[in-house]
Amino acid sequence: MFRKISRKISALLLFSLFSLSALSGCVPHTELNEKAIILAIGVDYEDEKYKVMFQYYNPTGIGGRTLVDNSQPNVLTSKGEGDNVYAAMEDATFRCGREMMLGVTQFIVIGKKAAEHSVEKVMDFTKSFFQSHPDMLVTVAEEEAEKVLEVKFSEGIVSTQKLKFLLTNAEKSGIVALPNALELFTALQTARQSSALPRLRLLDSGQSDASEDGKTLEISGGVLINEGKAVDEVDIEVMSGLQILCCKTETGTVTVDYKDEKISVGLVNIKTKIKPSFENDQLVLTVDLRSGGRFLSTPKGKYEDENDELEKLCGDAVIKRMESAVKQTVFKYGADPFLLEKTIRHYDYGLWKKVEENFGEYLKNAKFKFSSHIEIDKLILSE
Amino acid sequence: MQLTSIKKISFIQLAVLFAASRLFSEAMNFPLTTVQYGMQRFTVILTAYAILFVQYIPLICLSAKYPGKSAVGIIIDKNKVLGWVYAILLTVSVLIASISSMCRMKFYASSTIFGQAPEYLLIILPLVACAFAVWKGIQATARSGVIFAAVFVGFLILISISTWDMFNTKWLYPNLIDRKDAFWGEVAEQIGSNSEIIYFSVLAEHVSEKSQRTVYWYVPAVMFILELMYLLEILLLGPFVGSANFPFFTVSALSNIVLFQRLDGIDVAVWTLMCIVKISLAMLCVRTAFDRLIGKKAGIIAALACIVITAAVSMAFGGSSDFVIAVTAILTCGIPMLTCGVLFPLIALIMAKIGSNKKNKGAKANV
Repeated sequence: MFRKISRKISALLLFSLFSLSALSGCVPHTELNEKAIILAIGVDYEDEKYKVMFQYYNPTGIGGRTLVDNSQPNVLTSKGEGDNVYAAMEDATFRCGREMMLGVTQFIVIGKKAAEHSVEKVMDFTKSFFQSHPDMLVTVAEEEAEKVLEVKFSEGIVSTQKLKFLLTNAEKSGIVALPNALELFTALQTARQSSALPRLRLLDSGQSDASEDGKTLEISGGVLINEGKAVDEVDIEVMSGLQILCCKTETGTVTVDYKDEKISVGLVNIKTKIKPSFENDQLVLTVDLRSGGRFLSTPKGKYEDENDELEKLCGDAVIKRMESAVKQTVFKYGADPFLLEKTIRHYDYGLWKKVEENFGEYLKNAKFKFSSHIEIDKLILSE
Repeated sequence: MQLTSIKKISFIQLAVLFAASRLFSEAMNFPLTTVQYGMQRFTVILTAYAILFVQYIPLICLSAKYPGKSAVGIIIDKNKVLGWVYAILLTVSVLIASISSMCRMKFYASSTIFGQAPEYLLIILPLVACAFAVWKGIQATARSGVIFAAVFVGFLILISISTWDMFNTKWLYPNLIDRKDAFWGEVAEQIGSNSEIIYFSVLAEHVSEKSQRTVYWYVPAVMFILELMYLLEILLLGPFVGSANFPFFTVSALSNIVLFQRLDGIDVAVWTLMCIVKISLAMLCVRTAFDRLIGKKAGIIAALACIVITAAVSMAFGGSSDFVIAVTAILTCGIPMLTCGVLFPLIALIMAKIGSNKKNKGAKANV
């Protein structure tokens, strides 16, 4: 009996002793406040070297009653360089003296030269950092990514919050297509490795009250990625057209001239269907756009009987955007930023097999047939 | 010394344990060189599990004909020398499976969310749980395994619900065999590392009745879950599924529910539990085999020794991906499974048949 109990006690003691090693005090660890919690990463490429700058969370803002001072940007920056992005990140971590943590990283800003060199190589480092969120947003800086990250917004708890709002709001309004890291990875796995990333422009007039130094950022359009690297800059109209073609937005705005009046119509429930076919050795893509519409400003005249004409005008305006997007991306470079590959494969696998080999060339010579069907809400019209 | 007895479990419990063990291997199988984006994977899984079922036929026949007995039990009873050969081969096979599983789990946990945790802890803590499971026997392992499997099913449902708005059905396309030349290679890789067939050749004797039904439930269930998991991956990741190191981890990182912004932490916890089930089953096989050969005490000592070996090898070489790939390659080549899971059960079936014929003749002669 006694032997049995003592055996149990010794087993318990052994287990307790072993469990101690699992407790934090006996294990090498880093406290959360000793880590560089990276919020945004900027990647540049110069002289065959990658330069990285990251913004990391600094909760020691002063002036507030709490640890986090909402009136401060609450971020610090660190820079590093290396032969690849991973090495540059490590260098930056070494310089800031903190262990990096990518779990809450919201942004990757790619510098112009780095994007022209290879977007794929820039993004590759996130694959080895499993903690990085596949939802983080990716943008391209008009010049250097470093300059973008130097702007520290004091709006929001951390500087990046303002930037995130700026981009997601632009996406919701149908202004730019905004791929996250996962969508970019997916696009880079397709035959043409194409995507369109929003372009950020630095405005350093010193008049903005949203940042510490009066600088601010705006979305100046997009950058077309083809075969894994940036090939051209595109304007807002093209980005908007691409977003409609990607079916990524449900809302948008068009302004049309009608009887000496500028009439703005808000588009709602935008649905775009693309159907592929093959005619005379040419890839034909039939794009059908359907949407509801609402007047954003009350028109002066009464247009109950002329609604069809207005609807057609709105449809033409949207088609013009899509045509512009197709012309600048598909026809010019054989790029596939709205993933036609997926659509062709889904609807007609035989056709995909036919065009797979020379997909770029087929895209360059493809024929797009656009049609639109917009229904403007008559209730608002008859006010 | 009083030892915890192994006791009996139901076929459903064993099927759930096998499913948990198999799903762990599938999720942690790195590098799966032949997994690419495409509808072909659905056909590969279907074909692989149909073939897998065929591989189980000798064991099904054995279980149906000789209820309450296992291949290893029959061989040991009939021929001690062959029993020793089988037990040693079996121990080596399950030991390789355990080392491979442990190393892959450690690699997965340390490269995902436990980057800072000391590697020895990632190895020792699950193995302590395995040792406890072996000590307590298959009944206790089965009970906890069923709970772990329920956690996994809940997790799968949670992921599906939280990501459904991100599903893109256009990534699916109507061609179920689009890389004919690679098809059989993919099938072979899918079924190669099926260590559960070895487990069944030993653990069938612990099933209270109709142990063959384990296979009827386990094979279709795993096939269905794997198809479902791949469907989830393809709907969310599209072509990225082929280049993501751990696609299901990426899928879980995308999940966003009210309390948790991402479910990848739960994902690692779930696979750790599954890993414990897999290694525990392997060690229970060793315990059962040596239990029959040299007695109860020796059985449990052999199993604990195997756990120590797994810990030592995983700690010494687990950091080298070349080692993990080499060890996993031994399993994926299929020889251990075919030897211990098909060949020896066939021998057992023949030996049992001869034995029963002799008995019948003897009985007739007596009459």
